[in-house]
This record gives sequence, structure tokens and C-alpha cells, in this order.
Amino acid sequence: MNQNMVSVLPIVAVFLPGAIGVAILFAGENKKLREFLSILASVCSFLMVLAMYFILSKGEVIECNFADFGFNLFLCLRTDWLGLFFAMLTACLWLVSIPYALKYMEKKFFNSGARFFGFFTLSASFAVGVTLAGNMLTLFIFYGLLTFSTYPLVIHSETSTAIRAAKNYLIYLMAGESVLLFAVLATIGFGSSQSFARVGVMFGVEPRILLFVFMMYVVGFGVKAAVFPFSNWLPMVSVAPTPVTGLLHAVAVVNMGVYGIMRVILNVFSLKLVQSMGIGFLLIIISSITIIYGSLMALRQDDFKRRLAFSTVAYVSYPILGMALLNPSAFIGGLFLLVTHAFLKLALFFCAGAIDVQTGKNKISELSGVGQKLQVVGTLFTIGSLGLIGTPLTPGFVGKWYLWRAPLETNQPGIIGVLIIGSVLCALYLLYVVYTLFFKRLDDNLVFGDKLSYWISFPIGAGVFGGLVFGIFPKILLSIINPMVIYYFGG
Amino acid sequence: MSIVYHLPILITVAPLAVAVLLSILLNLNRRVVYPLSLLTMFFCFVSAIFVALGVLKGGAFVYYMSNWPPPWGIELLIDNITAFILLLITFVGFFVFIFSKPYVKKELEKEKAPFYYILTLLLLGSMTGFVISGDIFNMFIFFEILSLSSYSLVAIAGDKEALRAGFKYLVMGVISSLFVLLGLGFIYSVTGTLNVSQIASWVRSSSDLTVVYTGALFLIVAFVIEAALFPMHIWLPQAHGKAPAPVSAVLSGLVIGVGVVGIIKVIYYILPIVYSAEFIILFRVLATIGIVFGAIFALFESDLKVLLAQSSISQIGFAAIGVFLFSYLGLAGSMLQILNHALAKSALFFGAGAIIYRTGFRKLDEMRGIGKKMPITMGFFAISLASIAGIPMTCGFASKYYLCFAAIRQGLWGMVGAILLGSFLSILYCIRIINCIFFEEPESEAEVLEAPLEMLIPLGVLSLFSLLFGLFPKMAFVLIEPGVKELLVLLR
Amino acid sequence: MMITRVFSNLIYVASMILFLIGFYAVALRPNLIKKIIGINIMETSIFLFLIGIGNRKGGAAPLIVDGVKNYVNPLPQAVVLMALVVGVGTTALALILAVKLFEREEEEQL
Repeated sequence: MNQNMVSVLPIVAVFLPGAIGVAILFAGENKKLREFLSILASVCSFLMVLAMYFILSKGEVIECNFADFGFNLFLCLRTDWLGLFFAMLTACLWLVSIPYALKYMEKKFFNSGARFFGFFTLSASFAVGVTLAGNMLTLFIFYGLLTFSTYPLVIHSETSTAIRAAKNYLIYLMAGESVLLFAVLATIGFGSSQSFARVGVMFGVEPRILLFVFMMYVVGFGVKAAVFPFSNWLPMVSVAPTPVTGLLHAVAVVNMGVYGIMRVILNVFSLKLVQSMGIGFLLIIISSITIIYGSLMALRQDDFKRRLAFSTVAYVSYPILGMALLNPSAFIGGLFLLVTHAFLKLALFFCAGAIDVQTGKNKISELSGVGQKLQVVGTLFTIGSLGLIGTPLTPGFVGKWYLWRAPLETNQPGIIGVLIIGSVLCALYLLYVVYTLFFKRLDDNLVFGDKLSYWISFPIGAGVFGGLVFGIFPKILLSIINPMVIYYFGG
Repeated sequence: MSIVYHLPILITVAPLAVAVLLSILLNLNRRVVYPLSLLTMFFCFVSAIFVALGVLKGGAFVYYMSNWPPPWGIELLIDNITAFILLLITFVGFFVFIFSKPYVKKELEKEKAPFYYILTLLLLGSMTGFVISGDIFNMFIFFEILSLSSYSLVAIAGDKEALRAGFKYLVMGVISSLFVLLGLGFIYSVTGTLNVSQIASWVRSSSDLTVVYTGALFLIVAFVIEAALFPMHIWLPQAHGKAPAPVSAVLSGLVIGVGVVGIIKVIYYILPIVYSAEFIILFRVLATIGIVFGAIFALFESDLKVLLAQSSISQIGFAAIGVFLFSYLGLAGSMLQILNHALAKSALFFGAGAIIYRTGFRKLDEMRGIGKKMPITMGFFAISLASIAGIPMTCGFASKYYLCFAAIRQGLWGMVGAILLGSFLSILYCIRIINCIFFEEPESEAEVLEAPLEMLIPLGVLSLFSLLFGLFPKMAFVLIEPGVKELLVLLR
Repeated sequence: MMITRVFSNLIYVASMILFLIGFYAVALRPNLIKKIIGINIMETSIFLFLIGIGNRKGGAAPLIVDGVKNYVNPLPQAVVLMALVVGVGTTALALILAVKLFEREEEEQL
């Protein structure tokens, strides 16, 4: 069915924005040039990914090897539906968040703009690189680069909290990546082939070792996907500038963890193997714990961004749960929730950032009645929250509906319980913020900034709008997800 | 035979002869010392390129000095690995000379400067001699010249700490070279020859190997001391930390790498049977422990140059474990690591030297925010640091990747764990430096200039090369791949 | 039995004992001059060892003289000769370092 096509398009899609990122680093304090290049990079990447979408929808898989290490170790980029799905998501949100980032940084931070936007562009293009990777080695390399290039972003404010947070961030992620490197090497060492294949690459390996390698993968990717025992870094890095927490830590970085777990199950081990080993169960338990843990912790947070970060911890586990159920319907649900979360959480973080820009307040307890003044932001925040909770007409609803079907069919009441508790807690911690914003008495001493720039309000609107479109017309998303389901689950 | 045939001996003899010549000329005219020695190093570098090309085209060859065959004459052995190491030594050595000019002018007293260049020439020349010599006795002689010149260079600054470090190094070095002599004696007493290939063929055909094993043990321990593998590393941090920066670059980047080459010579060329001996496993374990320990020492060090020296212990451990794995992947990883360490660690010491040159700072705490004041210098510094830490797309990643893969292939899970832990820890200490120089607020607002061009060029070239070999490891494999295959053929 | 073995290999035993004495001085004595002396003792012990290897019972010095058939092996002697030279150099350097260190410490005390 699928033809392979050799093309340099994926390479250009990853390395051209990357090169622009490096150029921004050297652009120095030339603000106009820097802004132009940042926008250019995101537009470039978006257009490339779009072009690849059209090629792929004609049924051709683009593949290209570009660095041969010898000894059967090589780097290769490859676009298939799963990769492209994540690539489109990343490129799309990158495009949305760039104007916001430009304005926000201008308002809040005055130092080292070149460094910030250089590494911002670099990390976004590395995230695209992760999604387009054609084998585990390439995936790992981009994955590592993504971590390192986000490091200067986390530490950007250079306060002692930021430095401590960045250090912890790196320790968590590097420990995860060391484990991951081990798993990747073991895969290449034991596996028969390297490229991602539907049938997996682990043939004739002892079950004990298989289990071990699988656990290593879960830990390795789990750190980035912020699953339960390894999730503490995510709230910690919410000290970073909001565009970073928004785009990278709510979307790109954690999604790459999810993406990695999906790749491992679908392409490295293959569904059949995972099913026969019964190790999906492990992931189900981990993700269920994470959902409840994240939601409970989110309830306790007073810091706005920390609350959203814990909500991310909880929400990112839905797609993992959907994958672990090894059921097409749950898989679709998981991906739906992933997209929902990416768009809406980005918008919510941007709302938090906008409120911060306008009032300088970060604590929820200090935001009483702010929504009465900042009506646009408040309204968008409310709509976004409803979408995440999963009210009808939002993608959250569609996703959860698909996700619920699987445990209902297979009669797993425990998981349904987790889903219900998760949704209820989600409603509690988000609607409490909405309540505070609109229905508490406004503190008269609060000083508001000038009128909100369109560069800030527009990306928030775009994020919410993007989320809602998929809720009302789920067909758009299904048209991308369906080929995957057919490919992996066989119709 | 073409001129290439005679070049290897010239690479060794030229620096030594020029060094002797210069120590005479010195009294007439001091000014000729620097240009002449720079020219000599450049000549050596160009010759090394030709040797490498010649070996690639015509294969390995043996050179008899004045056409005297062994066991009477002196034999030189030039194959792909030696050509590779020669190229590395002369390449880094050439840039060391470029870097030294401004540094020596500022940091050393005027009358010491010519001796500095002469000693550096001796050091580099004897290193090349050690690598190419084809009998143990010559190896011993060159090893002695190497050691003597490096003791003097460590102590050349003349302050108390440098002298102390030099003396400590001397004691360890003397023990190491006496062990070479002892091992040489043991081996000679049964084989009756000192020629490498003759010993190898004797060893292959003989059955009673107890004495040879004893000799091998002494030789390996001697080179383990020179390579500063755990637990013989105690002399290294002080010696490499207190020496002038360009000397530290040679000592850390090249000399301990040459120590590993010495181990390779013993295990693969001279005694290609010791790989079956049990005591080899001991060295493997020690090297593995060294990776982790060196990195831990480096984590808690506050003096930048000593920190870099501590990290050398860990990095050279990576290079050594590949040697003790006896597999293609392991050796290739080891060679890549020697390459990476020579390029990146030399560049790092150049960077530390540039900071000392501009500010006089040695402690990490004093260097806060210096990356903002000298962005280009510290940018290159950061690239090299990334290569030492083994961040993807750098040479360091490629080498660690190969080593890890080799260990997995052979089922040495403990070693895999140590490699991963070691790389994790190296990332931590590198990040500590990065944090300090880029992200913390400088204590004073004083302007600091970028390093002068003579310092910037070596730093830039070496760090960019380590990036280049990371992006295209195939380039390094042009010499490494046939070389490693030759080594493995020797074992059979 | 043991005794005869020791006596037949007396030269090796002696060199081993010398080596250990030297090693003791180098490793455990804080005095730098004693360390240097220890280094020299170690060196000498190894020279003894090498000469012992090349020795042949009743052998004459390796000079071609009519009527002498039994020579000792000249190669270890050559090795020892070279090593002697190197050893002198090392000792000289070590002494210089020791003297300089001594001077520096005196300067500090003043």
C-alpha cells in the first residue's frame, strides 16, 4: 500500500529551522532581525510539515538516511502518520505561540533576547525532529538535543529559583535519558532491524530481557511524559517564561514522551508482542496513578502556573492510558485528548501569562475578580477549561467518549472509575479558577496594564479556537488518525 | 620506496634534533626559538598527513633504521592506528604552539620562555617516537624523554604548588618507567629479544607463559600509571591543574592518551595472548570504576583547571575500557574517545588558559558570568564541554555510544551501567561549569576582552573539529576502521 | 630445598629486596631527599636484575678476544647503560625540584 519515497524534505523541515535558530543566536541584539527570523522559522517548519502531509496522503512514506555511523548504526528521518500527527501538532502550535512569545518577552524580560529566541527556535525544531525520526537512534538523539536546548530557556530569568529548577530539570531528564540510551542500545543490540516497522523489531528475544527493556523504555520516556514517580520536574520548571512552559513544557516536551511510548509499543515491540506479554497493564497502573496524583496536586496549588503544570501531569497520562489499553477506540480517544490538551493547555498557560503581564500577579488567591476587568482573557480561559473538562461540543468530550468505550467494552470498571475521578477533579481545579476570576470581589488596589496587545490575545484565541474546531468537527482529526488505526490495528 | 617511507622517523627526530639545536642557539639569539619550533611542528603535522595518506594507500609498513634488520637495528612500526595517533599528536601539538605565544609571554618569566618551547618540542617529539617505535627498549627511552620533559613543564612556573605537583608526578613517573624496565627485563629473559614482532611470534608459539605474563603485568601497570587510570590517578589532578594551560592541554589531551596507546601496544602488538589472562579483567573493572569516580571527584572541585583534570581521569577511563574489551566496537569507541578527548580537552584547557590570560581567575566562583563578557571564547568552550559531556551530535557522544554498544554486545551489564552513570555525571559537572560561566551574575562589572586571536584560533579549530567528528564520525573512521581491524587480526 | 633455591637465585632475591627498600623510602618517607635516594635504590635494584638476566656462569666480558667462547649477554648491559644515563637525568631533575621547593618554603617562612 505504502510506497517509500526518498526525499530530503524531512531533513529540510528539521534542519532549516534549526539553522535559523543558530542564526538567531548570532543575530545578537538586533530585535527586528530576531523577530523576523523567529517567525520565519516557525512558518518554514509549518509549511514543510504541511507539504509532507500532502505527500503522505497520496500514500507515500518519505524516508531518508543521512548519517551513517557504520556498523549498521545510522540516522534516518521518516514520515509516517503517527510521526506526522505529532509533527503537525508541534508545528501548528509553534506557529501560534511565536507572536505571543515575542510580545510577552518584550514586556516581561529585557535580557538576552537572542539567546531566548535562538534556543526557543532550536528546541521547537528538535521537537519536530523527534517526531520525524525514523529509528530509535535518531529519535534518541533529537530527544537529547531537545532537553539540552530547553535548558537555557528554563534558566532564562537567571534567578536562584530558576537556576535550581533548571538544575533539577536537567538531572531528572538526563537520568531518564541515560536509561533510555540503554534501552535504545539494547533494542539495536537484540533487535533484528532498526527502522520502525509495524511488526516490531524485537524477535526471538528472551521474555525476561524483553520485560526489562520495556521497563527501561517506560522509565526513559516516562520521565519526559511526567508520569507519576518522575513528574516533579514539570511543576518545578513553571518558573520559566510562560511561552516556554506553554509551548515546550505543556506541549512539545511532554508530548514527545508520550510519542516515544507510543513508538515503543507500536513500532519497537509491536502490539501483538505487548499484548502477549501483558505488560500494557503496567502502563495502565502508572498512568492511572498519575492522573489522580496530578489532579489532586493541582487542587492544592495556589500558584497559577504550578496548578496548570500539575494539570498537565494529569492530562498527559490520558493518551498513555489510551495507548496502554491496546484498543483502537482508546487509542483514538487518547490522541484526541492529546490534541485537546495541546491546544487548550497552551491557551490556558497563555491566559496565565497574559494575566501576569497585566497585573503582575501569579497566585490564584490574588486574582479575585480579575476576569471582570480582563473579560476577553477570562472568557477564553473559561471556554478552554470547559474544553479540557470534556463538556459536549469540545474535543475533550469526543476524546473521553472514545476513551470510555474501551473499558466499557472490555468490562474494566477500575479504569472507568479513574476516568470519572479524573474528570471530576479536573472540573474542580479549573472551575475554581473560573469562579475566582469572575465571581469573587475585585481588589480595588490592583493595577492593570495598558490594553492587551493583539499579539497576546490573538494566540490565546487561536489556541481555544483550534481546540473547539476539532470538537465540533471531529472528522478533521479522524482523517489523520484513521490511517494510523488501520495501519496498526488492522481496521 | 617513496619519501613517505622516511617521514615517520623524521617526525620523531626533527623535534628532538631541533630541541637540541635550539638549546645551543639559545645563547646566540633567543628570538629564533619560537618561530623555529613552530615551523618544526608544522613540518611534523604536514608529514603526518602524508604518512597517513601513505598508510591508507599502501598499508602498514616497517622501517629499519639505517637498514639494519632486527634484532640489531631499530625498527619502526607504522600502521593505521599509529598514523592516526601521529596525526592527532602533531595536529594538537601545532595548535599548542600557536596558543603558547601570548600565554607564555604573560604568565612565564622571560628567561624561561625559550626553555618552555624546547621542552614542549621534546615532549611532542618523544610522544611520536613512543607511538611508532617497534621495540620495547626504544619505547622505554622515548617514554623517559616524555616523562622528563613533562615533569619539567609541570614545574616550570616555579611556584610552590607547581613544584610540588611536579615532584609528585616525578615520583609516580619514575615508578612507572622503572616498571617498564622491569617488565622489559622479564620479557627479555625468556624471549631473548626486545623487538615487538619477534616477541609476538615467540609468544604465539610458546606454551609456558608465566614469566611473560609477569612482564606484561609490569608493563601494563606502568602504562596504567602514565594513562592515570583509577587507582593510579593520584598524581594527575595536581600535575595537570597546576601546569601552564597549554602544557595541561598537551598532558591531558595527548600524554594520557598515549598512555592508553602504550597499553594497546602491550596487549595487541607485543603480547597478543594476554587478553586470555584473568588479570585483564581486573584492569577492565578498575577502568570502569575510574569512569564513575573521576566524574564524582570533578563534581566537587572548585578550581576550573583541576576540575578539567579530574574529568580527564573519567574520560580516559572510557578510552581504556574499550581497549580491554577486545572487540571491534570497543576499540573503535576507544579510538574515537582518544580523538575526542585530545580535541575537546585540549580546547577546554585553552579556554581555561584564555580566562587566566585575560582575568587571572582560576576558581569557578570567580568566573561567574564570564560567558557574557567573552561570548566567542566561551561559546567555543561550551562546544568542547558538550563534547566531553557526550551530548548528541558531538564526538563524545559517538565514542560513548560505541563503547556502550560494545558492552551490551558482550553482555557486560555492570559496565553498561557504569558508562551511563559516568556520562550522566559528566553532564552534571559540565552543566555546573556552564551554569557558572553563562547564567550567573558577574560579581564585578569590569570589562573583559575576548581572547587574542592566537588563542581564539586554536580553541575554535579544536572545538569545531570535535563537533565535526560528531556530526560525521565516518571521517574519523577512515583511519580508525582499518586500524582497529589490523589490531584484531593481531590477536588471532 | 627452599634455601638452595634462594641461593641459586641470589641476585634476583637481592634485587627484589633492594627494590622493596627503595619503594618503602619513596612511598612512606616524607623527606624529599630520602624519596630521591629511594628512587635511586629502586633503579639500582632493577639494573642488578637486568645484569643478572644477562649473566652466564663463568662468562667473560662481551669483548671479542681470541680463545674466549663464553660471553655474558651484552644486550642487557647496553640497556642498563642507557637506563643509567636516564636515571642520572631524573635524579638531577628531582634534586633541582627539591632544592627549589626548599627555597620557596624558606622564603615563605621568612
